[in-house]
Amino acid sequence: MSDAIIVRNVTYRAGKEFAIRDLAMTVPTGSVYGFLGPNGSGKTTTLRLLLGMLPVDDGTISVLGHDVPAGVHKALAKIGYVPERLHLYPTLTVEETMRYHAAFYPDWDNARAENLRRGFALRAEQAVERLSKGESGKLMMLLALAHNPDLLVLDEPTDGLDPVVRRDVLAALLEYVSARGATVLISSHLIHEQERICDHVGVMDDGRLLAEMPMAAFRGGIKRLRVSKAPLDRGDLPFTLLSRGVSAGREEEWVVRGWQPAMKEYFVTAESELREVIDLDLEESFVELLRSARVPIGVAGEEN
Amino acid sequence: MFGQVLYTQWKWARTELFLYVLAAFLVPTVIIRIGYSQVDAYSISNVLGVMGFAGAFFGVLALVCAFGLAWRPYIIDASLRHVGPLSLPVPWATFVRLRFLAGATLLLIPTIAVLLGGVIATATSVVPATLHAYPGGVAIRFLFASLIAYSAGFLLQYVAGKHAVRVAIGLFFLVIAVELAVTLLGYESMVLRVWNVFTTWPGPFSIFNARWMLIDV
Repeated sequence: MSDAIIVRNVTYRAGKEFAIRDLAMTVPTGSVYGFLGPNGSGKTTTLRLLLGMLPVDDGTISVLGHDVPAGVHKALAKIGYVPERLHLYPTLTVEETMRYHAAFYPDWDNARAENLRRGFALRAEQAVERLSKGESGKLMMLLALAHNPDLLVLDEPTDGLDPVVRRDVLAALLEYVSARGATVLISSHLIHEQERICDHVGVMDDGRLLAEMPMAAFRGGIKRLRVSKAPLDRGDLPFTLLSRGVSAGREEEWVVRGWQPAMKEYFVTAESELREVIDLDLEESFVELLRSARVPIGVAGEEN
Repeated sequence: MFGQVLYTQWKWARTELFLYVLAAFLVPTVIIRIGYSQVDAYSISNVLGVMGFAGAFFGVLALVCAFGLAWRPYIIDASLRHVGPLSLPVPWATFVRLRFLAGATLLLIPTIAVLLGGVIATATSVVPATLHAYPGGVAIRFLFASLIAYSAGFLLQYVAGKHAVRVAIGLFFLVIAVELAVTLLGYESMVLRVWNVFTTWPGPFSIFNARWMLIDV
């Protein structure tokens, strides 16, 4: 499987406070890649870098086989983009907005656009400025899907939408992806939504990509361990220790990444006792991953 | 693509274009009517004086039309952070060129109104025997003047971006400061010299200094 998006060592500085640092990410072709991160972590900035809207300070980006920014316009013809905020001209009607976009995309499919408009119950003569938030979200998804894109870049596409509209928008997206085999890069902080639809995940915080892996590995590979007679700091851990805190008495709770059942042996050789291995759901895994990136590993009780 | 960009800009500007057309259409007639009621319509010097006054109006109208059409699209795109244009599969330079050409095309609307307004105003007025009506000449001047001002406004907006107003204000104060310094040092007015360079042939704005006479010798 080739990769739809390849980012290597990208650095971008936005003012004095925020920067994307040494970003490396890979979105496999045909995958639905969930881009997770708290607000302000750099997700939107990264998406804009991918689409050539912002100039990178250093590093390389390739999207659909085209270098960005040199070949970004060829890539954009095959990308459906839903930005974080409404980017449509308010005085145009729905129909005029569709015609405007159709003029720029060589592969615009009028029949598909019309079907989507009807499916989304959008009135052709309705002015964009009079659309509700849900209708605006539907129109943006329509515009992203109507030119048969190979890659969909969606920045918080369902943020602020009610559950019914969210379901409609996601259904249209999934129907398109399953029919066409398109790649999707979807940024969101709605973790449970990502869990349902994504098969790959990347987690970003403070301008850095903390982790990138298949969703199954992310979901199954992060565990909470209850350890008694926990060993002192050792450099031979077979997993990645994300956090370590006092639980009760002499017990400690460890959050680890890359856990495999065979790793229980490690505790035997370390003369400690693994009392329990607890599965974390995606949200807990996400929070632990962020916490470990922000707080140096140590015994939580000692940190405070 | 051009058709859609033109339609979009037409939709944004149509209210102000209506006002420009109304002004271009009516004001020459009104000025001539009021002017003629105050002077002897058969006095050549009086007629030329009224026409000179009407001509200044056309120059101002050309400036207002030009800057209105040049700045509005940028302001709308900037309010949406240019996300729409930047996410389209065309280079930024191509998009800006389409914007420029669409605005320039829309300048034809007030130009036609100036032509028709001038034709009606002169046709319904007394033209002394030794004078002639030049509505076509005024319309062509209006078109060139508005195109030059439009290009300058468009260039300033797209080069200076969101800082255009600040750049314009900064330039204004810079000119005043330089002028003050030059005056204090006892040299000839710098502003006047620069003004002359720009507004006399072959200066780019010399057309504003030309004779905008609907009725002339």
